[in-house]
Amino acid sequence: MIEKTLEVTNEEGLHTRPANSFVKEVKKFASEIHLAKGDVEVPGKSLLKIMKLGIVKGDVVSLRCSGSDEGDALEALAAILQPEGETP
Amino acid sequence: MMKGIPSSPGIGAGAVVVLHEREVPLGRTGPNSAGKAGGSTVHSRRGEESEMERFCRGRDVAAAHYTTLIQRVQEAIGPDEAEIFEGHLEILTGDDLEEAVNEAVMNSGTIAERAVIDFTEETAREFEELESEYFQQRAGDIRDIGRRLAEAIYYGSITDPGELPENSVIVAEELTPSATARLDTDKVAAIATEKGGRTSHAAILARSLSIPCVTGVDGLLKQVHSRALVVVDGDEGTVDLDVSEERLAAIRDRIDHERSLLDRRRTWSFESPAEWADGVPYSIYANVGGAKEAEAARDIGAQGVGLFRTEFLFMRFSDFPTVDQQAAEYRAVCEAMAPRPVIVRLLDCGADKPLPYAYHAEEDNPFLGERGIRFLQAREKRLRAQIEAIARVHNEGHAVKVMIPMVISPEEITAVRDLVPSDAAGLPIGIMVETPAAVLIVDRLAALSDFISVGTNDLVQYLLTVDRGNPRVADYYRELHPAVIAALTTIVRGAHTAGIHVGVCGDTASHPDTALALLALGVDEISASVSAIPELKAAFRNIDSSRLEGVAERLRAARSADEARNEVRALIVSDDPPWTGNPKR
Repeated sequence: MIEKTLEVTNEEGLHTRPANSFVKEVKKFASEIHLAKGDVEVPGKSLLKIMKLGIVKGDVVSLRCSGSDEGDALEALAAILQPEGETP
Repeated sequence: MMKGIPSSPGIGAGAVVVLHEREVPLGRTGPNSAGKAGGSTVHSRRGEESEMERFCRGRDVAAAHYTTLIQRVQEAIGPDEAEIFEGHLEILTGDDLEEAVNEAVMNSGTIAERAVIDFTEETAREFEELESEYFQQRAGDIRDIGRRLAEAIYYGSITDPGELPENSVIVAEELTPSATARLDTDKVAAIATEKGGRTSHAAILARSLSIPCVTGVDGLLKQVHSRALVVVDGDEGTVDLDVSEERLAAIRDRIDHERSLLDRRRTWSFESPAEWADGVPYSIYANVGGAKEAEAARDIGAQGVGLFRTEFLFMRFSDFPTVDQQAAEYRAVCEAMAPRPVIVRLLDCGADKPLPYAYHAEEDNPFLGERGIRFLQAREKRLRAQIEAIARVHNEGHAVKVMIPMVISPEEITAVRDLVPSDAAGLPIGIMVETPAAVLIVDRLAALSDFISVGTNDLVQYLLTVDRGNPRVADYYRELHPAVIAALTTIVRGAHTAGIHVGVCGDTASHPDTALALLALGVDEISASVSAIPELKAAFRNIDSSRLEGVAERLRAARSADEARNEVRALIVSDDPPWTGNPKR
């Protein structure tokens, strides 16, 4: 299992649209993927549970991936939370 | 008269169409179930279609409905909005919903519709508990998904609101995203909802279509009935109920009368050249917020757009508009004005104009905080996208220019210039002078700019350190204060030494006395609000241009704002507006 804790810089946080992109991306990987904010951890493939975290820009979240393609998954998903060209 | 939250400006009057939810009985099974016995639990209908089978069949119907909606929204509004409905489809077909329904059906013997509504209601409440307003408002989306699914399970179909009569006033508990996507908005005179707020889906849609809208009207559905005549005032946030035919006719008459006076005023302004009494011309531009207003500006005789406030464009979307979406808006404004010039101000949000979907950190002093070009420089992707969209319209041959808000240093100008695509190198870049810093180094800034526009609202506020919105100090806010006149003098000299034009797009350009002072001080163009242009032309047509000589010196010598104001007021001849039919001349 690998884990990365990062600050969300995506301007919209995980509003419906970016959250849906996140879930679509999660489903491309074989790894078990979880997203956590504070003490609450939810499965990466559940759009509803991810949205219930209410993630906005500036929140600190943890990505946890475990499986054969965990490295690629972590990288791809971090890119949604921290898109290029958006600074904290 | 009922009170709510003003959510989209304007007045709309007409007959109510209540968007009703098709009732789904939650205590028994529906006509779509195999047996019509009407038992209330799974156990009483052994051997018939199971509740989970009913759920799955309903979900297929709902999923097909959302797929059609996605296509419709994609065509009518755009891909970004369509992606939101893709998210709704994902929630509808996701495991969470199915698992929750399965558990309720298996363990408690609940019927599928009830299980769906219970789960989505519980989830919606959880959203309402979240901190961010954006996520609180998503509760409505979740309830919408649940109701559509319950309807599909019970009836085997999902209804359309059907044909609307002309001038319909749409009334609903909450205008759900799927309901708004189905509305024939051309027929909608106004929208009023019992729940929701300024950032709810209905409000955003109403603003984007210029439909008057009031949200959050407590108890609305109990008070109105279909076909009642009502007046919705989106500026005041009121809904006037059960207006009689006579009242409605009187209101329509008043609207008609005002419209005809406005027509004459507009025609006069359009046909009257922008000239002083002796025939010497001056330049008058308009401030606009979008293409519709640009058309109005053209029809009232504006010679160009001196300020396109793109924050209004951005506020019409529920998320940052794409390059394509922005280019379409800039193009529409330019086409409305063509061949006259259009100055597009880069997104100026923050401080008193937060963007609902953008992240704005808590600031102790928002007016000294991340606003104007600072907001954009912290989000280079957004800045790049906006410049790309304007450059595209420039390359199509439109007379479009870029204006940078809240400049304090030369680096901000070079940073914007660096982002201009190489094939659009001729795109004019100018600055808004609205900070004391920009006034003091105007020579250096002018050397890097193609034009200067003075934003007097912020400039006066920052020079005098007065918040004009604060009633305790509003009296200190003086537009012709000696410090403001000194600053304007410095700016005009700086611009003219650099060989560039200087315009003014603040409030001062919209009132005859202060606008006269600006022109006397050597400002090349004034850019006024569209509605102020006829009054300005009417005032200036009575003044010989030669009378402005010496006014600048006297304004500079004035010891107080009042003295300066009297100086320009003395030039103005008061008479009836020429469009009322009885001019004195």
